[in-house]
Amino acid sequence: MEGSGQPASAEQACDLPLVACSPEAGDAALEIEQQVMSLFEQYRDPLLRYSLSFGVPLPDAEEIVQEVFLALFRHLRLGRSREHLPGWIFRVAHNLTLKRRHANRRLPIATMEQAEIAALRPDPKPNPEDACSEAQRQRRLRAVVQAMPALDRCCLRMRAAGLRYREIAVALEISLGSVSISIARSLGKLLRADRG
Amino acid sequence: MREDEQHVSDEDLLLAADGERGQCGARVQSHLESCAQCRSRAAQMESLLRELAQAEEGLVELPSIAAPRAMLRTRLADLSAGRGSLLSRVRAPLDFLATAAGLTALAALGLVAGVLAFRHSPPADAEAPFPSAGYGLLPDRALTPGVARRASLTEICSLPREEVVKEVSPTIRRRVFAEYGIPLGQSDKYEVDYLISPGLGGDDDIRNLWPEPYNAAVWNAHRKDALEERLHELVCLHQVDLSVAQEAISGDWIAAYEKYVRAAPAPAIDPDVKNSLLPLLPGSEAAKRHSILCGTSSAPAGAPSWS
Repeated sequence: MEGSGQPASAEQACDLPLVACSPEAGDAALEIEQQVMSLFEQYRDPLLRYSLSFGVPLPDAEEIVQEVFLALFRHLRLGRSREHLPGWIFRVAHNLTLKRRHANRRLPIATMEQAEIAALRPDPKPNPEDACSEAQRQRRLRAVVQAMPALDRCCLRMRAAGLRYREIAVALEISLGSVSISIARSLGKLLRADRG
Repeated sequence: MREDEQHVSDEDLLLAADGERGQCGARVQSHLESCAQCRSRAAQMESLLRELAQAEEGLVELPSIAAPRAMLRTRLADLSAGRGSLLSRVRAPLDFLATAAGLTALAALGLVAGVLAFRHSPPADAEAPFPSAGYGLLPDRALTPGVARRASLTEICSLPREEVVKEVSPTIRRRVFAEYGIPLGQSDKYEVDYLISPGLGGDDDIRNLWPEPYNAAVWNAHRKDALEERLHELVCLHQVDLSVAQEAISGDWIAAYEKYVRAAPAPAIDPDVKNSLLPLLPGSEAAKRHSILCGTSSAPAGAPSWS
């Protein structure tokens, strides 16, 4: 584990762990806050899209993203690992999203499907022939995506969000090999469908 | 796809392209240099991944990051300062939702209310997504773009206080709720507010009116009122141009609050003086007193704005 330089024992010196109890702690909190905001700028949109892809309503997804970064702040304040933070962020988002979706008892599976279809959206102004061809292609790919196991969809979506395979492995708590197998499997299916 | 065992597997191609240097990393690179078939396969996979990634960005039109950013900044500041300590005790984020019946979750939900304002008062058709991109924190731009009347600075700054923060008539209120799809039974939870306030030249036009939640934890109607009054002060002190103030409050009032209220909190001044500032005319005695008390120089007419 790569620490932030803040030993856990320093944390224990305060009654409320997240309250700055010295000027140094205050500076550290400020620095961490800036880091969190910086990561928020970078990952808010991909996280929001990822959460939405599970069919979670937009307000819920937005709140999940907020919770992710509040959790990240606590995580860093406790001096915990900074390794693969993007993967960590997505893992928290993934778990919170699943819980929220379960809590909502609404499982609009179609949303993921719609998202995948939209993700394969062609150029907005194709000519009619291209549009027809592209529509057929989309239908093929749609069928493939619909049939994909949830894990494969998650891996694919995280990759599309810009995560490295190692980070996806952290996020989904699976091995690097499993990620590459999943992505390769998904791409294989999509490419075969693409060829018709 | 792998008829010849000497070819590299798809998995290894993907990992190598991602910079993973496993045991076979060197072998993959070496093989790719000499195998057009594997290079083509790798290129196809990467191309499809790129296509997915690029299309992803155009997938959904996401709401502006401004309000969530401001919300997160506030919540982090609260955590840093130890405010909302009940929430700060929620160490594991995954426990947060699981303990919804507990005080911790209630405290957290209080904060959540800011973002979920309209979920607390959903429209009649609860299944339909609310049209606002900002969940009530910001108005729906299509319905409420903001409309200003033709008004001079002198006119605006000579408005009596009741005109600066004037109420909306019940008839117009009903029209606004209908437009936003809010049942009348929920109407007491909202203030029908001027996007551009009358004190900044905002018009009575329905395109300048929107239902603003009272119960949002942070970005609620009370905060917007504070912003309106602050901007009115600044405009009448010639510290902010009227057009800049109108644009700021109609564009993203939360960002405007961050800029004009939160970033530069009003100094503590005599309440009598403060009250006198609302109908403040440039160059008035009240303005001069304010300048002295606040340590600011009295800006001449036409002076550049803050921004």
